[in-house]
Amino acid sequence: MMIFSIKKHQDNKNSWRSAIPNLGVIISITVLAFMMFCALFAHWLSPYDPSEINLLNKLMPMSAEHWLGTDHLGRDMLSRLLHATSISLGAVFITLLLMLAIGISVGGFAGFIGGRIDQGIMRICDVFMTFPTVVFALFMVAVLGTGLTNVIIAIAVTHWAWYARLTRSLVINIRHSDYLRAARLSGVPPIRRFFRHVLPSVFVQLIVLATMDIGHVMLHISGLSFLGLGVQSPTPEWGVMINDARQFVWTQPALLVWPGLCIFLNVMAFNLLGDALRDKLDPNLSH
Amino acid sequence: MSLSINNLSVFLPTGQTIVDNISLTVNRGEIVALVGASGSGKSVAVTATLGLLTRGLRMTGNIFLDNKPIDYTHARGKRIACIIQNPASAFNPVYTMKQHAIETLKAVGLPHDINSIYDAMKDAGLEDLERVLHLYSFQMSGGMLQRMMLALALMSKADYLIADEPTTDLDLIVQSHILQRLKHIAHDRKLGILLVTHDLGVVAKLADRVAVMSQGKLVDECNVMQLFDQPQSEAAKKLLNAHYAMYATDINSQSAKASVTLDNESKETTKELFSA
Repeated sequence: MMIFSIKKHQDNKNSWRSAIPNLGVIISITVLAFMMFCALFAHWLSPYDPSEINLLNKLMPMSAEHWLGTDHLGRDMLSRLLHATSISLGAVFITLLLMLAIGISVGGFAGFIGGRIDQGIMRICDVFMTFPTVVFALFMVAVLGTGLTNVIIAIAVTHWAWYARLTRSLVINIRHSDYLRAARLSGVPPIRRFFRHVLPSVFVQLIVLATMDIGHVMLHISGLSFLGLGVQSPTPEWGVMINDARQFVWTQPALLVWPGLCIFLNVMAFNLLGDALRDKLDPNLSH
Repeated sequence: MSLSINNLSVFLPTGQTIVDNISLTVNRGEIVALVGASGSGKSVAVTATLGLLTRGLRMTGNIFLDNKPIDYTHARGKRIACIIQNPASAFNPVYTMKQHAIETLKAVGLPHDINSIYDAMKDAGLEDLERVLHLYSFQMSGGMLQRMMLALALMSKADYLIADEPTTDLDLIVQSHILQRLKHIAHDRKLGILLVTHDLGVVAKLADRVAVMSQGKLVDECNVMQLFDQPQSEAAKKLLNAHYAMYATDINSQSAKASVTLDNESKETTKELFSA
């Protein structure tokens, strides 16, 4: 990998194309760092309580007191956006961790064991992959009930199969490698073999897939919240905020623009980062 | 105290036999060479002995370790160490040699102190140990990796060593040094070595006993002098003829002549040098 990246770097040295991905990476990392900062310190950064209703100040334009104005209940937009960022990003990361955990354990187990068990597990994966994820997630929420936790569970349950399948194919590749055979002959027990020799190389590829998936998951969570299935109204969340502002789309479009812009920037940044990571780390993709 | 293979046969899923009823015993402190042409079933026999046959292959027969049926979870690494073919792919490119060494020691339950690592590496003919330990496999040559693999095998203090072509990537100087060391170690530490090779030069230097395989059968088993003096089987004769054809047909006369001509030439060159 090291050699590969060095070689690539030399190839790209004189090419104008090298400037574009780097710019994309810089932008996306800057945006993400800023968003993470906002998410982590939302509590201290926000000037007002995000749920504090003040009907006297409703639908205020941007001003020195309310940098981004106020919404139809007089709540401070900036405070709400900051808190929404922390909820949305937090939910995305928890979903992702859950998906990775299920995907790696199921796919890793199937690939490492092989045989009939592997075939059985893969058929189950196929079943999960045939359903359109949105419809399946809606069904799951209908079964489990509304709420952020249930949305997270629904999305993880509908998405783990892709991770399981990728993990399995990577594990099978490594299982036939000489170094795993050597480790087996040296008496290294199976669990340690899996964690030391199989997981690290699988993880690199999975991170690429996960980064490219974050935007998708983020839209999913916001979409379900917009429909009123996820985060419930007084709690700030991008989808909820857009839903709340729906009726003011002609009179106060800014109420829709700010949370929309947040979703757009985050999804774009994660997608750019995912593409860049794939270009750097995927040896099958040579230019 | 022996590792013995009893009536081992290996079959393809189609029913075709690739290893046909072979029996072989390696005593501790003894070096047994398993020779044969490519495709004669040596590697499959060894893989079956280690219980690592590819899915689909079927084996019959028994493997005994010290007269008890072998228990692989306890035998691998701890009792039987291995050197496998292709040293370049036998190391995980993500870890350094030091990490590999520590993993090996952990796997066999030995304390991982640096001195035992150094000792094994010296035994395997490695130099500049400090530096080598911090290298990754792709930064090392095939010969270095092969020596490192030998070091890992010696580190585990196993009683038996199964070595599949252990010296193919080494230059002749290192090769002869390592063969010497192996011979010493085998006799000093009572290490039983099963050496799989088709290099009769290695066999002549190292082995006590030789087993010859041909088309899945064990066709000859004798001590090493006997193999070179009076080979019994056709397969052994073929291997010997091929060996001699590679290194001059008749060793005595050819080498004598060669040394004479060399002597004359060197005298003349010295004369020329002095006159000039």
